[in-house]
Amino acid sequence: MNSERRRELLFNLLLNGAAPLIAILIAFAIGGLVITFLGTNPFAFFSKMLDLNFGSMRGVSQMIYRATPYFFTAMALSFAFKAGLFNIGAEGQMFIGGLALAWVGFTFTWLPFPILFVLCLVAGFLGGALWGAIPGYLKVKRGAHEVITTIMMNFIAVAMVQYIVQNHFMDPDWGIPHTPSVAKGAYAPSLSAIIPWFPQGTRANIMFLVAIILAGLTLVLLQRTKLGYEIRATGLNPSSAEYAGINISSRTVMTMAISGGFAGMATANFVLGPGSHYFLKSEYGGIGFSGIAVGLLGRNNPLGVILAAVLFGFLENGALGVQLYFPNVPRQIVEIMQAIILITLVIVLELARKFLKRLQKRG
Amino acid sequence: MEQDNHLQADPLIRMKGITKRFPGVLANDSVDFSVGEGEIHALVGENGAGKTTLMKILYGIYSKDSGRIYFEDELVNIEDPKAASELGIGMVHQHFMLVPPLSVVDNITLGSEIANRGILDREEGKKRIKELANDIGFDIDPEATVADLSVGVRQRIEILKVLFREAEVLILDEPTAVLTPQEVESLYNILNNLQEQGKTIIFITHKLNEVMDLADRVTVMRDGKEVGTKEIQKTSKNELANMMVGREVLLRVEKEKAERGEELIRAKNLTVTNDKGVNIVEDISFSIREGEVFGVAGVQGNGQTELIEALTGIDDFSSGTVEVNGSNITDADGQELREEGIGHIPEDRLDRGMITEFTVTENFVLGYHTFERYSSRLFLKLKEMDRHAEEAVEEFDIKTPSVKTLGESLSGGNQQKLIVARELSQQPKLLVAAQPTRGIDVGAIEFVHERLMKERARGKGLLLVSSELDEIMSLSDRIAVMYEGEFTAVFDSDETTKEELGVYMTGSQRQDTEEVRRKALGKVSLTE
Repeated sequence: MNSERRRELLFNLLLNGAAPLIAILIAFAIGGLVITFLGTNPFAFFSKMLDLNFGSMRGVSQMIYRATPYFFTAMALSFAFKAGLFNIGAEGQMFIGGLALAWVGFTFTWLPFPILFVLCLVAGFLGGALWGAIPGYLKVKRGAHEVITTIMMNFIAVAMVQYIVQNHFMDPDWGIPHTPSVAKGAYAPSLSAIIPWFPQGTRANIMFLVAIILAGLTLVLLQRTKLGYEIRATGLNPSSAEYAGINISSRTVMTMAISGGFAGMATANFVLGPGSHYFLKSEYGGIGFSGIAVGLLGRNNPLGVILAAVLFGFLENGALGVQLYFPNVPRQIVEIMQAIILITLVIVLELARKFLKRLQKRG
Repeated sequence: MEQDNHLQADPLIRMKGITKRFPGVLANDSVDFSVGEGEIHALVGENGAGKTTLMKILYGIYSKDSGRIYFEDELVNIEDPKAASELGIGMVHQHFMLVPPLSVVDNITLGSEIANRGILDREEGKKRIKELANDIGFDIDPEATVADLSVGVRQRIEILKVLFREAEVLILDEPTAVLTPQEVESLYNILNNLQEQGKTIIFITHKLNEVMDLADRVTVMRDGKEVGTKEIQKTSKNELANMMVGREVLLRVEKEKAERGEELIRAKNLTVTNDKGVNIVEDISFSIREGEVFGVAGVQGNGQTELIEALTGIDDFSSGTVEVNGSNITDADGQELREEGIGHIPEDRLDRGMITEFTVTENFVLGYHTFERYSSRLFLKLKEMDRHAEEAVEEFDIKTPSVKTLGESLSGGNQQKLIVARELSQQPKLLVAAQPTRGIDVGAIEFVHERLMKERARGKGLLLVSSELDEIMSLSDRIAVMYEGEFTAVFDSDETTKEELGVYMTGSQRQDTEEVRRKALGKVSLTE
């Protein structure tokens, strides 16, 4: 019994741990090659990147700040995946949720911290949840595939948010369209305010801790609650879930709503965190889509998703800083590497599965 | 070990001391197996006894850990299926390996195409296929598309595929598992014809009737070991069953006298209409009392599935009423029905009955997870769940390393036991059991039957739907025959025979509609 259990664990580790690691290594190798062709020493480049991220607590703090929103959009993908749904609409859900939380933040200005801050998060969640629930409802009622509808809802969300911000909330004097600033009661405390030894003056804020807490809560929800049991049953075998008297339709809509809710909180890191304190649409484009890669890399496991988000934060933060030292390497190298990670991950996972099958055959 | 060594002085294939270990399982433990030229040799054993593993080693799909294989007295190394083919060994798998959109000839020649200077010679292929088919007694259209063909015909294509590669030894893995009784009959003919042509046939099965009908010799395996090889004339079904299970097995079910009590369920004029407006279930009425088993016999696909799914809340009736203990439950959903005390063993354990990626515990509460003993308003009571699952594993003798093991690692028989355990542990008043023993082995069948009869003796009601007439006959008190969505006959089980039921099942005869209704509703209805 024990040896079997151990073997099972080992297989899991190999599939969920080693495969992403190999994919990351390959991505760095190919990224290194590209950098070499650009006439830069890849080792110097990557070690500078490492230094910028991990060389100081300040670097770590910046990395965390960049990583936080990815966690939320990645969780949107991963959570839906647990119910067998592909939510590709984190981008749109993020925008709707972002506008909602900003609106609460600059509208109910008289509310004190932490009431307003929490209300903002709730609004972000609800905004994203609404945007996620619509494709869920369409799937249940009309059989529309959620991949198609969530993608299309992205365009609607982007255009709608753009329109609302420009025509209703924007001061004509501002150069770039953004909302008014949120009230002080909505500010997300910086990590240095909570953790004494954390460096002052960086943007890392409480949203990173919120992410970790949510990851834990999600695990509890999925493994220990009735709802989580039903969501997993629906995802793994809808036909058996139906047999068990589980209302698949309601579970599908609910899963899409929770999934969208995660994405809806993604921009809280920017809007409520230290910085400009307003919703600046042009800053956030792509975070929803990158979340797909982060979710896959994290193997749809909340803790894995945190690690994957940190890796993306590492790359992004490193790219921003490293430009100063290696001006002939464009920051897009990071996007190339993110893409390579995704592609190699898919390949490596497939190979790992084949390898495991062979192992099983051999015994 | 019981061995009739004198039988084949010069066997065609000898496997000596074959051992194969899988993670956590010793699938083959030093197995000896030999087959003589031109014989039909049955390989029997319960699920997980190691039959298929042994044959996959012979066919080169699995590599053995140790042991030797002799072919015509020569030590051979069968590394892969290609090596097996070269020796003239072919295998017909349980799950067909065909390309449905392609034609018969393309499927059969795939990988061994006949070509003339690089140009495919389909005509030659078609000719040879027709010849091969005629030789073993059937006709086939080589241009037919496989997707349009029945399971029975597809199996013939698989056999032709093997013959096309000039196999002299054919291994068939549970060839009858997917066939209708008529198709089984023609498979018998084909196999007998093949034997006449001098082919050697090994077939894996756990159906003892087939062994007695078809085989010359039989080898029994149990728990990865070979427990004996017998000549068919010198053995019996009972002996083989005992060898398979390792103890005395009751092939007939002991039916105790059960007191018939109050009426449990009364269903009237049930109709299920599909989305094309066709009545799949039409005007069915019946009642079941405490301590009574109401069997529904019929060829699969005559509306049994739809009746059960509507009855258990998965689907809806288009008209009719169902009353349980006097309360109307026609439109109740699955949860409400379970609370009402109606359990359901679904006909398809993998598609309905369980979730293979769930643990034993999680599967054990499937459908009952909302019950107070397994969850509070929000949270699952994981400890309680585990405890109950452990008790059930113990009581129902489910072979699993632990309750945290995934359902997919259980053998088919143990998966079915898990489902039966789940439904019976909830103490239902009425149990709807569809094909409760499909695809499981003798030992598990006996166990399930015993448990069901125990429930009957305790005064529970049972609606049993099965396409196995033996099962229907031996468990039921009353039997209804379902044909094209209707009950066409109802009998007391001691007043009818398998043959009679068979006649009604084909639809060539039916009883008077009013009489059927009256008998299905039982004596209670006479007072109305």
